[in-house]
Amino acid sequence: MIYKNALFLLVIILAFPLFGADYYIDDIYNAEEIGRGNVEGFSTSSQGIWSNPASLKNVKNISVGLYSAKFMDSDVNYNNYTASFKLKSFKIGVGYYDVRSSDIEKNSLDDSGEAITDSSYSLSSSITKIAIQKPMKEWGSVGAALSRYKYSGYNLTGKGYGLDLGGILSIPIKKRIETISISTTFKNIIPQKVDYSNGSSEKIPSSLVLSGSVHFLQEFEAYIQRSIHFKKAQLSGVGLSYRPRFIPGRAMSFSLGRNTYFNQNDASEIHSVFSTGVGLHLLGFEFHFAYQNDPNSYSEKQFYYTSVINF
Amino acid sequence: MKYLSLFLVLFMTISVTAKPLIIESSQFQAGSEHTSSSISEQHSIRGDTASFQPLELRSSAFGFLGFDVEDEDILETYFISEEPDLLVQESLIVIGDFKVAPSPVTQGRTSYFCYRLGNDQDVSILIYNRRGQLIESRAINSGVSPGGQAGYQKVPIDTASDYSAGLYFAFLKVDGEVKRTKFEIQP
Repeated sequence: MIYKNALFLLVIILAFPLFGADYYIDDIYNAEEIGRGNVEGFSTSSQGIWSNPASLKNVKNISVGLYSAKFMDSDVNYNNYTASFKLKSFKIGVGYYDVRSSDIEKNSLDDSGEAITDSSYSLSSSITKIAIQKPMKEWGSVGAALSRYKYSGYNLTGKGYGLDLGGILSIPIKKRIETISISTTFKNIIPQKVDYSNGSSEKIPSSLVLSGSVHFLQEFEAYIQRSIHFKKAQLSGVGLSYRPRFIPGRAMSFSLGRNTYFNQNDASEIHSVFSTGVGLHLLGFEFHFAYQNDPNSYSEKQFYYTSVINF
Repeated sequence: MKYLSLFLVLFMTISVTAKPLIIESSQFQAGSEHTSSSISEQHSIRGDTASFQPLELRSSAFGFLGFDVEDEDILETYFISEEPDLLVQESLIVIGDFKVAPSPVTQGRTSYFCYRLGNDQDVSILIYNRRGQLIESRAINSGVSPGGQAGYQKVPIDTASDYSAGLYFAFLKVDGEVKRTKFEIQP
């Protein structure tokens, strides 16, 4: 059965249409995942809907999450809010992701050809997501997420839709290695685009993300990921998390990771990023802090925060 | 296990507290006009720490914040009488603002990095996306046109092939002076 599924997956990968992708989507939404190499698919909260909707299987009943990050001296603010809850035989998740920047100069050239500032404006781009997850026996989970993209800037608005499909397969072993899990997500599986009020459009990028995790020695989890961005590049991520038993209630976790990303305008230019994370787990409350070191960025040291309530 | 957790905590502490390799924020805030009424900009004009110190002491004597026009005049006199050559030389590096125009610009149309140089200078322009990831770095040698000559400079941006739509941040670096602006390329 597993071999048939693997073959089916391979056929889909090979048959997947290649097309250009221009709409810029940040691939970082969750401090928990960032801290372990941005490996997706194994979140334990509603924040998982940004990476793999099937990961909602890890949520017990209700989960509410907040994420925050700032870039360019707080000139660009990233926030997202998620919630998920359990119904009879499936789980529902919703999320809102927002990027904002203000005081952008509206400039033009005067008669002498010199730049002048006419006014200033703000822009925002957002993603609204609704996801559904259904367990498949004890070992599997599938999920789907519908995304609505929205852009608002100077005299221009845009909107578009995308569909993500995800699956997670967990194989219990119960020796020193307790569980092996495999996560697969097709992002924007049906090629879509964002349409703008000036008549132009941009294709929404598609990607296939394959991730694996191995839970071993009761306290450790190792992660590996390969993502294929069609007509762009192949990216990777590895990570390790450690949740020690000697801390009462196993209230803390620590992680390390490394992942790659490509230049927004030149996919052949790949950069590596190292990250570490720490998590606090207390009575259903989770706080995740992640730190990334990226020498290719304006701020080499980057910080991310996610707060989650699970109950 | 305990040793491993201690190692992880130690590693994270060192990683987070290590000194960043970023350009000092004062450089990004550097003003170029010596007539600026802001004390913080005056500090930046003077550049290094050695010249910063006497300015702070002097300005404290006048009341560091909220000085009146008369005090400001005295400060100006102080600068010029103390280090006139330095002041004149630095104020001629980049005169006025650094802008991108037109902005927002529709993808495929040409926009320009606009600035005025006091004299021929080596110039570098760094462009970052909204996540702060470096997209492009341009170096323009002194005397090269456009970009490195004295006078008003308009360095073209090829929005058709070099950039996808989005918000970008540009930094102009000339002889240690850094100016910043942001611009948008629309689809």
